[in-house]
Amino acid sequence: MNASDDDLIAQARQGPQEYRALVERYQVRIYNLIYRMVGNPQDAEDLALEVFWRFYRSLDRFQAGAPVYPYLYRIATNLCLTHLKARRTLAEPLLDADLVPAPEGHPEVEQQRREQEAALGGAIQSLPPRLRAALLLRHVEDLSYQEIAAALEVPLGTVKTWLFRARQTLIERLKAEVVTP
Amino acid sequence: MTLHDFTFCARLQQQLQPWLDGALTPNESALLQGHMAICGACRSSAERHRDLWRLLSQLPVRSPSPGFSSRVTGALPRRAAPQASWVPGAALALGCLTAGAAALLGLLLAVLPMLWPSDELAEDPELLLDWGVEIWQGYVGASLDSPYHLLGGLSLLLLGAGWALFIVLRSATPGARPAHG
Repeated sequence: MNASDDDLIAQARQGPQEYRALVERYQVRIYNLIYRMVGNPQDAEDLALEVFWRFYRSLDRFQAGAPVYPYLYRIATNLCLTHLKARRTLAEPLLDADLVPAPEGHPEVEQQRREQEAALGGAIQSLPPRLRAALLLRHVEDLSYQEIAAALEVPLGTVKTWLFRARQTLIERLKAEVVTP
Repeated sequence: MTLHDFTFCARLQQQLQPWLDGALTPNESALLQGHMAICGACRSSAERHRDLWRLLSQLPVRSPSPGFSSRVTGALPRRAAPQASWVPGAALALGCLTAGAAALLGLLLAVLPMLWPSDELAEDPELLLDWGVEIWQGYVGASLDSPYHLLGGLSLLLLGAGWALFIVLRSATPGARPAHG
């Protein structure tokens, strides 16, 4: 039986080794979100480590019964935005095409899929960080407009505008190479 | 395409994203779908949007490198043994009770010799009141003449209050926190 988040929080308060179960529950989601934000596996891993360290330090203040994941993705999003602001350079293209496991289906179809993923990854990386964050929270994390507004601490209307601009940009960028068959 | 058609299409295309996000009302959705059934341009725009949604939903999920959770927990210091939540409150209550008891004891020691009225006084309220006034005047006078009574009481009072303050300060001191970061 899976332990509840509350159980894992209580366990984590006992020490680092007991914190591991909570980390293992959320590490993939958090890492994936960060990876899509920063587009670099090493930076993503460093930032994901920092997210879990920060959460550990805030365990004493964490309210019992509060949902854990929104707290984690807020830390992650803020860290990513700060990181991207500090980096102030265009992110490296996503390495999806290099990192995806060897295709098992038809080689040409798989090759096309990998190219599409790489193109989309690159297009996402070209978005301004806040637009990128809104897009990923919507499509990767499946958050509602309201949840995105809360995570990014902006009004609802701003989220809608950012999402609209982000998607229009992606469609324009991908029109030639991905979306149009 | 007339100008009217163009502006109508432009307005409906603004609704494509909210529609795919499921954020339109049933009436708005019906209007949009009805228009797309007769407008090839809007239909193909909707297809491009759908393709983007599909691609975004198919982005592969990335995982951190093996041993990630060990790196998280390995860098964290052990936490101080957690205090049960009732301890500070109990200590505070005990401190206050002790301070009160010490103060009462000090007062009793200071005025004890004068606290026993005769049977005669106890039966007559007026005499008892006079006796009380005499006691007070006598106590103040005795304290002024020989302040040992007063000093004894005050010493115990200060001792109790000091101990209560110590308990309060000790309870308010934050526990050890992880120093990582």
